[in-house]
Amino acid sequence: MKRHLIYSIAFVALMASCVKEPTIYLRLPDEDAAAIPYQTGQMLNFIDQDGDTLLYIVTYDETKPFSEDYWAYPNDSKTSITQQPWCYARTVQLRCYTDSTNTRMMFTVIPEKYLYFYWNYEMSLPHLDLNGATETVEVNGETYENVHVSSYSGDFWHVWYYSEEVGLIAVKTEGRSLTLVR
Amino acid sequence: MKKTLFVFCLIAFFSGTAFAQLDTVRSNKNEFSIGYGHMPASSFRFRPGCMVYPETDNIGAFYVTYTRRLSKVIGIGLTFCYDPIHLDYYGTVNGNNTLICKVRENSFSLIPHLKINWLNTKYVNLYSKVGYMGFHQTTYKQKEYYPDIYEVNAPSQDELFDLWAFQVTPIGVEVGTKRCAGFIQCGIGMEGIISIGFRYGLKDKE
Repeated sequence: MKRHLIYSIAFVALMASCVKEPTIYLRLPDEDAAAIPYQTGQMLNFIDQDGDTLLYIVTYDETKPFSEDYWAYPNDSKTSITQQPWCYARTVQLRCYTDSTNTRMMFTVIPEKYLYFYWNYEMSLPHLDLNGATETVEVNGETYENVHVSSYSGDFWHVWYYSEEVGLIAVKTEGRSLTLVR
Repeated sequence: MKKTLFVFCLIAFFSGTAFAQLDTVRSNKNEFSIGYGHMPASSFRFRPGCMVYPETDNIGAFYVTYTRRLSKVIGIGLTFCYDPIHLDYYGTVNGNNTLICKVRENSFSLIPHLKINWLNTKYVNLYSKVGYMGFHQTTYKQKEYYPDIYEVNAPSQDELFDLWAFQVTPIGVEVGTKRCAGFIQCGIGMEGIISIGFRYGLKDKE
């Protein structure tokens, strides 16, 4: 017990006497922040895998310091040393009120237009580089231009379509899907 | 219990050794020393999970010490340490790695200490020193180069002052005469991991 106390005091002394450093954040340019085209209060309809229409409402829109930890360990942040934020990020949350589970979607954009997408509490899809190539796609009878496509085949396959003008167009995984209704 | 007994025996042994040398050892009651230490604790970085690593210029710490000897073995005193710290932060600007912020700090600390001379001979002294709960004040200046791209927040005033300045020196060696000696010591704290210096003893009144 005494040994632990001595170690703790020594640790605190060493920590407190360390060099004092500034916190440095890379700012999020307005152009990058605009890559998420949603605004608070906006309502969007999506069709799920069963053909039901779900109403999503934008409930959260904040720009604040960002750490990748949340995305790497969304359910158990205690498994790692918490990474300190290094940039500002804009996060927008859409919550579904027609579904009893109140599912939600979160989009986070960081500088240089990297977009993170988090859906339904249970999955975090790989981030999307919005500086990458775009395609023209047809989804649910609508044609969309300048669409970023992220897809992965194999176990835990997924595909999602995202446009900087429209937002999420469609996302499909094994057993689940959402498609924008315009 | 065994440990306490062991420590007691150790102190008794070394005290006895020291007192046995009454006629030969130096016995200046007032000692002053100046020194330079490499890698003081005030230059350590402790930021787990931080993604930003500065280029540091570890100049080292300069310090002045006064010790009042209570006996030939034990002395108490104060140490004043000064550690200038240079930090240069680089970041990506238009695809190039560029200097984005310069930080210049001065760390000042005042630490009370206890000095124990384990061995006193005519020309060589061995000692240990421990200092704790000293004042520690840091002055801080930063210069930003790209404030439109990077936000740089200085530490708060509360962070720049603490009472945790410390020095633990398990072993130090002094070599010289009664009045003047050079020393080298190893430890951890505001005086550095390894430091060298010069000690001057005031002549005692008869």
